[in-house]
Amino acid sequence: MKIIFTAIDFVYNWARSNSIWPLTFATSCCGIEMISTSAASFDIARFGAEVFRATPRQADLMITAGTVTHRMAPALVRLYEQMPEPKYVLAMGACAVTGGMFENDSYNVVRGVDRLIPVDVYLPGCPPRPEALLDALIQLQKKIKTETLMERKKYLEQHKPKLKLPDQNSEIMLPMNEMGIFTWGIQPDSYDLNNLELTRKTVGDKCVKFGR
Amino acid sequence: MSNLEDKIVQNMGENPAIFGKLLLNNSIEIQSSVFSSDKTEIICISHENLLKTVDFLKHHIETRFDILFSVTASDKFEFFEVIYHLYSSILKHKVIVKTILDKINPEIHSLTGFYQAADWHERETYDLLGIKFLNHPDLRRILLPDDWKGYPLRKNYIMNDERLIWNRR
Repeated sequence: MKIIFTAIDFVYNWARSNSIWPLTFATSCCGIEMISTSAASFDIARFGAEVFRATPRQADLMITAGTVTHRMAPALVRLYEQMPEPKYVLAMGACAVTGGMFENDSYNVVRGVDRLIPVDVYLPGCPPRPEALLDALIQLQKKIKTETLMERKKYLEQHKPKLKLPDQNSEIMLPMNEMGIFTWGIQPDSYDLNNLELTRKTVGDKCVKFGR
Repeated sequence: MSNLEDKIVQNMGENPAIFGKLLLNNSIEIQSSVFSSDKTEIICISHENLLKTVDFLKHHIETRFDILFSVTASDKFEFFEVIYHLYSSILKHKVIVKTILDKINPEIHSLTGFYQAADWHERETYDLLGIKFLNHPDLRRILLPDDWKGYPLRKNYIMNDERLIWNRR
């Protein structure tokens, strides 16, 4: 059984890792390097990732190129939620990894997209060179090639967006407002940190109910 | 307020500059009119006279400032300073208009009636400094989330919103 799965995994991962379609998501200057990577001189098409999709429903990889602010955070999470499984995230640039130069004293910058969504490959640099982005893509391909269909459920668990409170070990999910559209970081006043009743399920049900 | 105005009018020259002279000749009160280091004229007016002054500067044949390319404000600890940059595409000259606002309840008339460009600039100024623009068509936050607490560019701003605990450093 395991031998059969290994053979299937090989073909499956080979096909997936050589055709990673990224989502067009460029929030600041790292996006220029991303464009340059996809253009003629660096040519990300050599690695099968040249099709930058404008819709998350057809994308496998989200290259979060640039600074993410509080205003952008709900849109980022919603785009990530709309991507079909299996999905991967590449945090490109210092801002997407830790907040970069806004990490110290900024009021509106999210300190790394890994506070919002799980990240597979971190790519530091301000901004990173196109060669570095290609290297990160190769790292991601290596990661995809190690996955197996047997442990698919484990990977699906890892792909949920999550938050961690610094003083609690429990993972909490997105708070929601009355409309059922979650807004990250801008919850209503009545939201009490000690009595959070936020689960993945409620978010999912609401999302289905509202047609997303 | 008079003390504050004295502080602002510290650099007032002996004679008002070009546009300041023009305004005074047409019986519009100004507080000071000086040249900045790059030869741009800075006119300080009180906020009651703002609409009258801008109306004059926009329509008078010797000024004709038809472009407003920046509205911003600055927190000077004791008062707010609202700054307008005007430019004339016809006569190719520019001017800076400054007004002083009270710290407690900063309110000033909107310039959206004169310049459409004032719309988003004033929203941004409201967003970051909390200056209320009267008669603005759609005064709400533009860069920050709608229920953000406080105004970040004020000097006494402290970010202590419990809802953002997940984003602590």
